[in-house]
Amino acid sequence: MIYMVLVLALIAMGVVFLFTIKKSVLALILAIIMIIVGYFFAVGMIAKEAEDEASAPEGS
Amino acid sequence: MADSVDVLSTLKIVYSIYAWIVISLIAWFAYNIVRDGKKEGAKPAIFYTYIAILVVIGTGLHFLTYNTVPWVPYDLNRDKIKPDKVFHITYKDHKITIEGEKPMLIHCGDKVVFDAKSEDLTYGFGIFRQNGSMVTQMQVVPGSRNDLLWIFDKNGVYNIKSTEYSGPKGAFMEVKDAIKVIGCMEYDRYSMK
Amino acid sequence: MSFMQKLMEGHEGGLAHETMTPMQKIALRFVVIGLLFYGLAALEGMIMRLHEIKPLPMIDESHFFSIMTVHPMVGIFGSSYMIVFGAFLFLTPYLMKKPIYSVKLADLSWKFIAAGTFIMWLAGFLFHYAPLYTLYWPLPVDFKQFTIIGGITYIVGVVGIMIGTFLFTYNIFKTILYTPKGWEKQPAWDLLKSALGLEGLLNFFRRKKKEHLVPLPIAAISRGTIDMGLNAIVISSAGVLILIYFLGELFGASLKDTWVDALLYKNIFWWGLDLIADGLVLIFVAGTWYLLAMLISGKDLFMQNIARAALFLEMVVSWTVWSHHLMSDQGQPNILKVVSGEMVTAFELITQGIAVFITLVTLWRARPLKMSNELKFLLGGILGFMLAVPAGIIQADLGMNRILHNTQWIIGTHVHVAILVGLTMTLYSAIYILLPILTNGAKLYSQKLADLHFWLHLIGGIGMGAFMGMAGMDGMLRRALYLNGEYNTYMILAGICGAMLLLAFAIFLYNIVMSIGVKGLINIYKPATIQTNEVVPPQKESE
Repeated sequence: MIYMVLVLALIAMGVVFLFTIKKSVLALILAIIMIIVGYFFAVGMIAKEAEDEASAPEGS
Repeated sequence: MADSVDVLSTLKIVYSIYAWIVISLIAWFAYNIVRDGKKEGAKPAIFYTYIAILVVIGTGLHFLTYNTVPWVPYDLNRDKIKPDKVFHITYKDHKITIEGEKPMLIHCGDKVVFDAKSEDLTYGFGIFRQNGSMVTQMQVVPGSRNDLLWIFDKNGVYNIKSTEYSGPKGAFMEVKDAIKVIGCMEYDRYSMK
Repeated sequence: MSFMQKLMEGHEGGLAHETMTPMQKIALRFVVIGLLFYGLAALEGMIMRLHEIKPLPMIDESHFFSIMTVHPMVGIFGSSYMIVFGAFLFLTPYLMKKPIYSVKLADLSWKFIAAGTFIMWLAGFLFHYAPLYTLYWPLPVDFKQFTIIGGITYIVGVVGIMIGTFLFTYNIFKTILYTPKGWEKQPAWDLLKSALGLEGLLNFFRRKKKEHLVPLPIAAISRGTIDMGLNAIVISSAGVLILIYFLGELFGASLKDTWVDALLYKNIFWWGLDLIADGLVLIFVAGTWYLLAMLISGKDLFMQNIARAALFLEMVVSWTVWSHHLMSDQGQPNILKVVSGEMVTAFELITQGIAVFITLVTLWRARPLKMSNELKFLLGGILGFMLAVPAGIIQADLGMNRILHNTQWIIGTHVHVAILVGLTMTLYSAIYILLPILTNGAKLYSQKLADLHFWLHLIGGIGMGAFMGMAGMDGMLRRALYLNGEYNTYMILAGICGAMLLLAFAIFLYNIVMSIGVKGLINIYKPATIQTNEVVPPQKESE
């Protein structure tokens, strides 16, 4: 479940943002964009996983 | 000049009328949905007119208040306005301390800035009338600027309360009679001592 | 049949649990626990209502605010999330016409959320941990007011809820995208594009439009689930941050709370929280209205493409509205207050207005309809949002926010009307329509009680919101305590309405227990006798 690994990474990223960003609207908006893009990527990995499983030969 | 009592009285009337209209609309819909009758859907023109009305109301509200509620333009432009007086207020250990004169004496029509600083938690700075209604407020966030520009145009004596929760110890943070406004022609009938 | 027999066995044979699939049982497990947590939240609400009228003995400030801290968490996660999860874990495979990806994960989800909510509740009950759900920095790590054990218990509970949430998000997306064993290969990427609205977006630029691969309610479930996942990331990040401070304190290494910028924290926290309040709630509700309207009317949705576009717009809007919570924060840049706080928030009036319009027209085209329980609760839910969304738009204005922020208007007229009337009545409508599908035809014990539940809940919910709002306009703050009867007229009236809500729930619970019987309730939690990943029994499908 690479999705869960990516979600954990995004949570860690969130903690780092909370410690590091100070008074910068630009940094705040970039952080938000990174979390959104990261999460879409994680959900995309579920599609990839589903695609791979469906393509795998029967019984593998 | 309109104050919070005027603005909130208008809100009470407008929102009450709106609430009764939508309650009646749903009641009318419920009454008719169980009866046979015309079944056609809405024409596109009706749908797009409805959307246009929502857009006008949603954005128009902000243009309306910018032009009718006095504190909006001077809040947005407070960086460019030179205040007549600045009051410093400190928050620490669930206590509100007014630095300098108390009550804070304000002359009618003066542009005053309340500059609040928190040394620990997030609090709120709210000015209240003697009858408990609110004049204005801002949040008091540690490590952040908390400056509220205000103009009083009625005489009165006002209390300060924390408008933000800061833990059980902060449940009753209040400074009675913290502000006194003098020199106006009009008196705030809800805030006279 | 004696009363006791009926109570135990249920109405007209009660719950035929031996005919139920594992997924039917799991969905009911979610719903039953969700309803019990709703009852707990309602009780907590009533205790606070009574305390605001006349201070109750044995409740001091720390106790009162610990109730206020857990009340929304129990209501949102323990109740609303649970009921929504149960319904969607059942409906997603049901509407996609394929088995659920994992029955085990679905079963684990409710266990994690139920246990997490209970542990989090204990943090308030036993240790009086009370930083409220807002957790404004550095309040959650204020060791002068709260104990380390209280804070850690709270965070452990929240972690449980978040694990359950992530399992749900994974199971939902995987169910939409996967190819069941022995089936013809399903186009996972195309399904994802359709579910998230990217296909619809690309269709705007295409001459030859591509067909939508997922039904409309699945589009709503997917987009709401994106917001749910994003929110869970933010809440988890805040939880880890708080835990770091607690562990530091526990091991004698006190960390400076100034390392975290309080205003930045507030921005990120509200960005995350609005993904629930202004994101998934509105998206899920719109999707549920559409599904209910189609099921009740037996017709296709009116203006389906507009509905899909509005759901996509709502998702994007929910990522950009958070600043309406920071309009009284003077450190917040004006550009964010005006663009995100005022202008983008106004879009919610449009997206929710579209959902109201499309749902009502869809129903109207099928008249005459029978005034069933699902229809009347659906209309109640629509009314709730018609009242609460404009109230929210009003307070998301620089002029109005200055005098409404943190008052009872926000939490009463806006939040409680949205949740209790709008969301909860929508959920009741879904429960009524799903009850025969989930139970393979269990019969409702009493229609009169269902009607009583409806009226008490509707009047109680709107009335409580209205009186809280009036108190707010007279200066009564939320997140505050008034011990001297300052707003007693409003508080007594709101208390009467609160009692109506509580009574409505007791009547509903009694009606459901009498319908399926105590034995039926217990049997929901016993393993299913049929072993299948299909959501309904095979004979049901062929009917």
